[in-house]
Amino acid sequence: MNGIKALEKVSLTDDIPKRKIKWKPLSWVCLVIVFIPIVAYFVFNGFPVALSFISMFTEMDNNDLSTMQWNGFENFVNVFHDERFWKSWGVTLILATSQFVTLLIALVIAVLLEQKVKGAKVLQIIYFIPYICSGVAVAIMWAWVFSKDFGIVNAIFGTKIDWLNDTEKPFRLVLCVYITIVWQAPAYGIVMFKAALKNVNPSLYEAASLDGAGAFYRFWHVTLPSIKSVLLFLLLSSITQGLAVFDSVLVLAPLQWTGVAGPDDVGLTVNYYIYIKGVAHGEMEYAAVMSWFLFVVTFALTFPVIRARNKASEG
Amino acid sequence: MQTSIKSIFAGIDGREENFKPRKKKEKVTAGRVGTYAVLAFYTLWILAPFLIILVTSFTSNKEYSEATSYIWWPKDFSVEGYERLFLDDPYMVDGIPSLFRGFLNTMWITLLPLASGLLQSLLVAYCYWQEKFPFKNSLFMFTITLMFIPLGAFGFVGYMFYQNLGWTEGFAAFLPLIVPGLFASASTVFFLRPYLDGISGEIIEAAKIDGMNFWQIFFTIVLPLSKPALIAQFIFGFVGGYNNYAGALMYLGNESETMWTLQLTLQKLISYMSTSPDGDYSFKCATSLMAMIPLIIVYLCCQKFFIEGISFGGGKE
Repeated sequence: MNGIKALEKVSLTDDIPKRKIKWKPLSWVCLVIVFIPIVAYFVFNGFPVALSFISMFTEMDNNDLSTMQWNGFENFVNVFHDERFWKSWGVTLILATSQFVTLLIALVIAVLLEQKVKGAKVLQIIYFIPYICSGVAVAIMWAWVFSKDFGIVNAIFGTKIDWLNDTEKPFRLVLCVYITIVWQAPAYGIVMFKAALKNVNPSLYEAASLDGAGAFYRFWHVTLPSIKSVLLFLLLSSITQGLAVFDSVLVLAPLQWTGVAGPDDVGLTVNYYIYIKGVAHGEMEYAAVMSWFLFVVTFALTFPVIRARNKASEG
Repeated sequence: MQTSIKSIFAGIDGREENFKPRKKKEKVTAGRVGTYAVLAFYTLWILAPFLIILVTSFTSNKEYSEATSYIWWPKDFSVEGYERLFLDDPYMVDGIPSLFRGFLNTMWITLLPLASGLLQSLLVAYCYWQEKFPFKNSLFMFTITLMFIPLGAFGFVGYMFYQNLGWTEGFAAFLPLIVPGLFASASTVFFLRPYLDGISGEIIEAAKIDGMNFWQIFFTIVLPLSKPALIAQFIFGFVGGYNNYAGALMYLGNESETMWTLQLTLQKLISYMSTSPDGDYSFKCATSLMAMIPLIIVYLCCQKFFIEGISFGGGKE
């Protein structure tokens, strides 16, 4: 949002005096300064990513570039025939749906907090705490909650279910990861939604009330359009984050000595697999294919949202 | 935390008084009760995991060895988990608790690039704001375009680059975590630029007439005036750095324990505990609690900055 405004300002203020620029020495100092972020970007982001692109078509010995040899599309063939790869996508997509639950919870809580609730300030402070907690610590916390012998969940239900390591029903682990995400992720959305709700013009509500509109109608026709751009922004970051689950699965489904993540490998997300292949096993050419595939999927999913956002900020 | 729970119940009890100053239309409806019920439930849901590990961190292993399920309240409080954490943890070197060492590592790894990167980004934003130089508009557009490329999927591919640079072994393994952040970043520039637009250009003009040079203006006028925006960006970056796990695991995971960051130490301690036969539950819970507490305390002390900073700094994207 800010970006569009910034762009407009630049073009508005600088169109006219363009021809009058005097090329002082300071201009050159500035030119050097503004090249810092561009050069840094290309060195630390652009170059490694380009390198990974090239590596997709090669074979290396433990990520050593000096041993690089072209092997055409062999890595692609291997990755796309890799059952583990597709399975990790299945797990990732299931976990990514938690982001919609997250957005819904965040919206509901933010709307409720705006209802002139007593103690809303304190509540907001509490609700934001999960955001500042690390994924690792949160996962450890929930691992204890779901622990087999002494977990509080089993104590409440009087069961002895091994939630995190049930070989019969491995899917229980995914459920635990899901809950961990849904516990932590809404914190950010609540703050963002709440800031957006504050900016909704109250006279719109009054007008709608005078027209005899119900609460739901008001929410749908007044609130929702006003917070559309924040909603789309959150959707954008949710998709990116949802597909990149890593920290929590690494703690809740640590690699077993068999090389499997969690019971029946259900803890393996795409990013986890990329890490195992590229960093732990030193087969970055293989991991690069997976990374680029993840990039393409992320981009394809976010592209409609980006377009909707641009449309919303234009209109 | 206790007081906050009280205040929620106070909120429910004090419903009637709360309604007095409002319009007549609003009564104690089912909707109001529902609102409070949902919020009370959500508060409990958020706080519950913390309370659970807090209780367990004070429960002795002896008690657990005789128990058959979760202990809701320990018979006698024990601090053995904390004792072990501070006096006898498995990765202790030279008598320094590993978690504390990890904290110190995290601090310098986070703060050094953050300070340098922020200062440079402000300098870049200032150049775009006030100075005139060739290709200004095109360069600004280009910088912003770079920022919009979603590189999230490439979190791990950089490893190959740094490995071939020789930056993944020994002390050099710190470099991939620090060096990229030392420079101005496109996203921070993008965020700071509109903020500077809100500052009156007349101040700068006046300073120029007074004979102040570029650097004097930057350090004595622009820098102090941009403090709110810098704080917002600082908090955003600090929380990210404090909680960074993937990067630390990638580059420092195989290095000696003296190089581990806080989150890495936490994960290593927990996985060490899981492999040991006697489940040291109080130690586990005390460790994860202690790893979270510093940031939570800082947050509670200046929560206004945090919430504003995050909603502000996050909106930059």
